[in-house]
Amino acid sequence: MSETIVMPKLGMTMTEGTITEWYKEIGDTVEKGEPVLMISSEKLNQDVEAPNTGILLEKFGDVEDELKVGDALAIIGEEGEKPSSADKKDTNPVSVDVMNFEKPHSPSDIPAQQGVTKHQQSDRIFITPLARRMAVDNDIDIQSVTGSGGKGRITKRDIDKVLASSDRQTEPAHELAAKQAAATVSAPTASVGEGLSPMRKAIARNMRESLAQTAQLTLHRKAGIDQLIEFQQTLRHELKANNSEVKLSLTVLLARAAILALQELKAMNSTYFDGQLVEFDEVHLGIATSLDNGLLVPVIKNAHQKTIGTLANALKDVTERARIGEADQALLSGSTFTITNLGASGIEYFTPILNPTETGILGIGALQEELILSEDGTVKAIKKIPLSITFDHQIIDGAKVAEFLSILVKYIETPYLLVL
Amino acid sequence: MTERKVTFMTAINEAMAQSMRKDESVILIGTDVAGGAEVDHLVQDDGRYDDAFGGVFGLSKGLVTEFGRRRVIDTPIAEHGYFSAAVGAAATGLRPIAELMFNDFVGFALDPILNQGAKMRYMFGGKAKIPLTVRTVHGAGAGAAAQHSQTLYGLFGAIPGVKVVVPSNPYDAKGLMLAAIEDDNLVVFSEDKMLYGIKGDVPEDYYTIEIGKANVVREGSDLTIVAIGKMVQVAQEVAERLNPDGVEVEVIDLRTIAPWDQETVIESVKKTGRLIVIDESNPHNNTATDIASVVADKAFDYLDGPIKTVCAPNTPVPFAANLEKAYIPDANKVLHVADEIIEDLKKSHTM
Repeated sequence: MSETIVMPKLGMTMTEGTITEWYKEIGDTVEKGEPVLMISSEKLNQDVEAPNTGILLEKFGDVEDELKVGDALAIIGEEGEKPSSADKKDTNPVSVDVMNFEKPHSPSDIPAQQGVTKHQQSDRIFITPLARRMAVDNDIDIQSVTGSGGKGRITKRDIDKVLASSDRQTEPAHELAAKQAAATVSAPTASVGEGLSPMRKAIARNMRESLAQTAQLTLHRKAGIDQLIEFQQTLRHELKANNSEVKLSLTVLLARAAILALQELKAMNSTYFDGQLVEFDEVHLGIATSLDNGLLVPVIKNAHQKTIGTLANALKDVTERARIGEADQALLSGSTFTITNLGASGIEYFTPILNPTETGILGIGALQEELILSEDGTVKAIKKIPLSITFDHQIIDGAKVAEFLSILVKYIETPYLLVL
Repeated sequence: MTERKVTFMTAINEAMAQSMRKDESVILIGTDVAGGAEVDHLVQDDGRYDDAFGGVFGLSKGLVTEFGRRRVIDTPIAEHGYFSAAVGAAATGLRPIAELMFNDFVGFALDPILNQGAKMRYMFGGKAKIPLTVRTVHGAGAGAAAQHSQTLYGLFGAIPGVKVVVPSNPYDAKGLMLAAIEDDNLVVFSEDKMLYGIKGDVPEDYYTIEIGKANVVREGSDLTIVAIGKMVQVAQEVAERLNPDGVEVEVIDLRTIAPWDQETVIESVKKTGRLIVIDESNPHNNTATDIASVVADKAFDYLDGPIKTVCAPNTPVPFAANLEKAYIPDANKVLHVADEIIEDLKKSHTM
């Protein structure tokens, strides 16, 4: 039975490798573990060894040829054996990551590399149910564990040994990172918020959870707000003429702008919880509302269906209910995005903390007056509003969030779009 | 409680005597259970039957003397007949102990047990109960050949409505016998003839041991050995012999094989991750295979190796002494089988 040697993955970022040197020619006998060729990637040179003893039947590529990771490099088999064309096709692009020891498809696909303990007797790993469960619970890659039990089985002892050994080099780096993250989450939670008032305790828990479970990053940007203020004045004038009770704050208009931006870029309007990423069509907008003794985030349900007027009423309603202590679970849950406004306190930029499971939170700062040199050469005073948006970098990247900010700024600076 | 050592056989005799004293409805019926009562040459001058043999092993000796022939009833060699009588007596108010001299004769007694005694309470909607104790004898080792040496408690254990008790020592024998007689259901009490002579501490008092509850006779953290009857001694020898290797064996005396104590066995396996069941029955469709299947199901994620059973081979019990010895599970066989599942423990001990 012939075996195919494939281009190994030497690093996380490696996608292809170059053949540097062939040590063996077609027809040569190779011993198991003997180097057959040398390959190189961006940084490394690496010998690729024979997975078993046999004759080098075929080579795919010459020196200087570049091949993709997982591509067939050579076939080793018995003398006279005719390698089937399937042999080459057979080599599904298995990622054999030497640096990170990702789980390869089958052990025989691993070129002999130092640090990798192989189960050479068979493709199948023999492991007891208990040991398997422990390995799963502890994120241990069983490919890298040697079985000391009967018939080479991996037993509880072997997993215990891995757990006990201080240097778990064989553990994939990302798994180790996840574990460390988990450790930092789990270690202190028992005492989070202890001794505090129930509301403070809830805030403490939420904030700790938020920071522990997400990768938060905040982008800042200013938006010109003169047009929006003008728009607000016009609307207020009209409302007054109609004897309307609607209280039209800048926050309402900014909220409306944010809702429209979220409808345009739904990736920001999402939650990530328990391995489930959900993007929403509906916007349920959380409004961070400060109280004397803490903070609540009442939620405007289906905010995307509301006009500026109804949004203004809803905003007034939910924040008032939160302030007078009428908030119930329904009012405080289900938000898909949150807005927090520290403008009244004179704060310019800040780094809001995500409301757990949400992917974004928009922080609004205090109006700033600036002098600019206008197109006609005169110096002119304009108003700008600082925006801070914190997002979960696990889910979404900076460029996308910058795009979201651009959309938001577009709505703020072109306010008639808000009535659409 | 006074400390005294009596034999397994005496413990059972004492249990029967105590229950017969306590409860007039308890009777003993079987082939030779009185053992020659009313045979002329055994009748003493004062009219008592002192020397009546008391069963083929002399186990019930003395009972006919104390309780008389009306309560200790010798029957013809007609198991179907007297077992049917015992079932009928149980259904109508007595609490009989019926003896099947060797469990190998089960064929003759099976219908009253399987189809009548085990079914009546169910089929009569609970209006009849069958407080019948079936005493019988199993086990190889006495050179009694293929028709008097089998271990067949597993057959009874496969019948719904039948409880099966297999004691391993004199103390348990007495307590379990008293519990079996008190039980309102058909209980098969299966005695290993090779245990009859062993001695142990047995209180003189009346006491019972709960049917359906196993006994952890030795605690350990590495390997669970479940053993039945005589095999408990084998399990204990294995535990001793593995001790120097650093392997801590937990020995469970099953005591009752139907319904067997799943809770105790599964708890133990969850702790040790390894299980060997020793059963002198033939190797298929027996108590050991049943235990293995239940544990594989209910404790799967706790198993740190395959479940092993050590049973007699799939043959009749040989008569030749050397073959009979080879037939019976012993410590060497268990150690051999254990090797595969404790290899890692032994390795880590030597390291």
